[in-house]
Amino acid sequence: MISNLNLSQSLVGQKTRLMPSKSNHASEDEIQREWAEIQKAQADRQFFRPLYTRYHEGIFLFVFKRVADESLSADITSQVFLKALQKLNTYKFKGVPFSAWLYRIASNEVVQHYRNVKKNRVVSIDDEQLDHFAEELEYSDERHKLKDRMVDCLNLLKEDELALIELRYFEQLPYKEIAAIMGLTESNAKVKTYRLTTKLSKIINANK
Amino acid sequence: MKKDNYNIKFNQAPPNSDAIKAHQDFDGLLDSYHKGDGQSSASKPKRKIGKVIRRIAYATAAAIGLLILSISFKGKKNQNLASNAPYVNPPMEEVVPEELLTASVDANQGGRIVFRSGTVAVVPPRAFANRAGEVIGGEVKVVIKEYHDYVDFFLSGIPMDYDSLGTTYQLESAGMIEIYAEQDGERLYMIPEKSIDVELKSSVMVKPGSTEPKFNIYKLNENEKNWEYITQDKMEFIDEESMISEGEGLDTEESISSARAAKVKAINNATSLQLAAFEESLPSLIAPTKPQKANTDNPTFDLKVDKLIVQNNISDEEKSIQKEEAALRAFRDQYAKAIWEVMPGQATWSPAIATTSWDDYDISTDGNGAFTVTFIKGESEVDVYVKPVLVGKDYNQAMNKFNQEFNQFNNLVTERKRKIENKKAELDKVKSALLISADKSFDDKIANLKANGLDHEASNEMIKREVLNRFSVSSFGIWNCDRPLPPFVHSLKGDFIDQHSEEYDGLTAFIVDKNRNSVSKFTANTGVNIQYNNKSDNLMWFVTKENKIAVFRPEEFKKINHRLGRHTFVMDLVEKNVSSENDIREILSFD
Repeated sequence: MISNLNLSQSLVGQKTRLMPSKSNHASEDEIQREWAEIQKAQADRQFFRPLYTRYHEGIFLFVFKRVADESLSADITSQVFLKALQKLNTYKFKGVPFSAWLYRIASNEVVQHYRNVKKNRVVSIDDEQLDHFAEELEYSDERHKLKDRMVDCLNLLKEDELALIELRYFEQLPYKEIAAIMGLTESNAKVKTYRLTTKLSKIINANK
Repeated sequence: MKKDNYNIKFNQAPPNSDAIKAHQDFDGLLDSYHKGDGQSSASKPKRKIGKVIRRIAYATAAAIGLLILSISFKGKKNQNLASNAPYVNPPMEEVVPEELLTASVDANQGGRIVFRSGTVAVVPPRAFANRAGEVIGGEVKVVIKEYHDYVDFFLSGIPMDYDSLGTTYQLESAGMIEIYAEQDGERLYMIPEKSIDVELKSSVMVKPGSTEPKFNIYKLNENEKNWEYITQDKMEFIDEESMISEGEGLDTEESISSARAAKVKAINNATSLQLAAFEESLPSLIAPTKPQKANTDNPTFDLKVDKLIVQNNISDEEKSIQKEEAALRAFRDQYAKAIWEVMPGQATWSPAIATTSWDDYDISTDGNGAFTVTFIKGESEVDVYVKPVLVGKDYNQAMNKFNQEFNQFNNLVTERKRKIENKKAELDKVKSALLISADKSFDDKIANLKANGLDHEASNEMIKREVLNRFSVSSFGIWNCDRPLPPFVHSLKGDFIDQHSEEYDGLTAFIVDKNRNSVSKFTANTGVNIQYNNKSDNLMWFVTKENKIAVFRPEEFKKINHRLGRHTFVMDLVEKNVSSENDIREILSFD
């Protein structure tokens, strides 16, 4: 039985652009070695130290970009690692670095913080990230208008959409890790990101 | 009015690495985890772990309840430690104080400390922090206490048993230290990622002619009441006088048997490796993929594939575009005649998908034969898992081709197997000859040994060798160079009296095997099971309430009739008052 599908060919002839990979992604060997460390720590939390030392700064910066306060970042980072210690036995190996799980906890802790304080969540962008993302959106208008346009665009996004943009374009994580952090499949993460950038590109380039 | 949902900040400078590192406090974090109360005792006063952390009060109360229960229980126990005593429990602390070795170091510079025992500690710069987590400078006192033999272990009160997955092992030590640092009387902490390299001189009991035994480094976890394995000990013999050089060795029947076993293993391994290398050299065979016929019960559809997302092999942009185009061409070639069958049992599939006019679709693959088609309309999308299938004439042609290729493949597999078997037979022949030759050589050596009357004596001899243990201390506490030994199988029930017929019940007793650098302890209850090596020299003792020592000596152990299964140990109560370590060494001597 051949089904009756009417498919438009909107992607025919369009070039598919792939994001440059981050050069310091963990290799398969490193991920496997880390899994051995995690298992040791699951048996005895004393052995969590190397994981803590390895990821403390990364988690701190991840949180800082979202709260913009050093002392608060330190507190939330402590909460993240304490939760990690408490929940370590539930951790399941999925072939991604352990950091993906920690980022997920960190993400949730940040969300919880903002629910408690009832303020707008901070989004931190630097000039390099702004330019890179603007290029991704094929922004072609005057440079001095970019920041305002970007602020308008990002304010239209839902929290999970913003998180995807941050992880991909500001943190420059691979899709596999983004998927692990956000609870998506890798394929979905890619497709959603593509859709978002298409939508944002239209918005940021409107009213030129 | 436009609503801002986010507080977007540009070029917000984050703290630098040093500032972030200053917030690290793993010891405090671990403390909080164990307490379960969310408050770190070593953290800065203003830092709170957070109200989301709940106290596990009921579990703590239960643990306290169990402890109280064990203190009040007075039944007959087997070989157990007294459960109400502290984990590290020096038995004669008031009488015999511990000897400390101290040295000063500039905390900013670090330095190499050589203690008067010969032990070396290399302290890196800026390695110490105070309770508040602040890196400290200035003069710091580094303190070590060393433990080398059974008297040291006894006086330290440090348990020498190790629990691993429910089995208790005796730890035989090649040297143990407690190490800490202090400044103005306040104990300091190690900075994470800093460690002190230690060279600890000590000794081990080994058989003559043997190489350095395999020991490990353990750290005592007083909270968990167990030793934690850290890493392997880098041990080195350092006593030249008793070194036996190659070729001049004192052969023993045991060492020859060990060498024989090693040689056999080496020959077997070499043969296996050669066979594996031969197999590897043969071209590998890949079976052809069987075409799949469409199942008429499942829905199918046709797709014109213009865009393929390959989820692996992502590299830089230019290369990946070329790769993708090549993948697309290969994909079209491979699946030119295929249609796509929906995998059964999917919650996302419904017949409506087939009649919907979609805006767009993506097809993705994991590179391993699984495909997903994502149908898109506006903001909605649906994932459908599919496989490529063939129908009619296309399927028949593909099957004919597959059958031909599969026959060829089978022939190649048979030929490959035959070659491997031939090679194995050839290698086995060579191996046999090598084994026979090795056997003869070892048999000759043993015959020579026996002819000289050296077999039994030599194989039972143990000698003391001086060693240097090298390891890194990442946190202060008690570090041990050990290997776990299984408990002795032989046991005997014991009752305890002294030469004046005074009965003893419930004291902590210590027992040492002359050939093991360790000491085990147990509660000498009436009728307790005592485990020991009945083929070796043993020494047993306990400390009375009056701080006197009652001893059971090796020659008395040899008189025990084991067949009775129970023995009354008549301890020799030494009347001399003990006031120094030398006094104890005199009393607890094997000679």
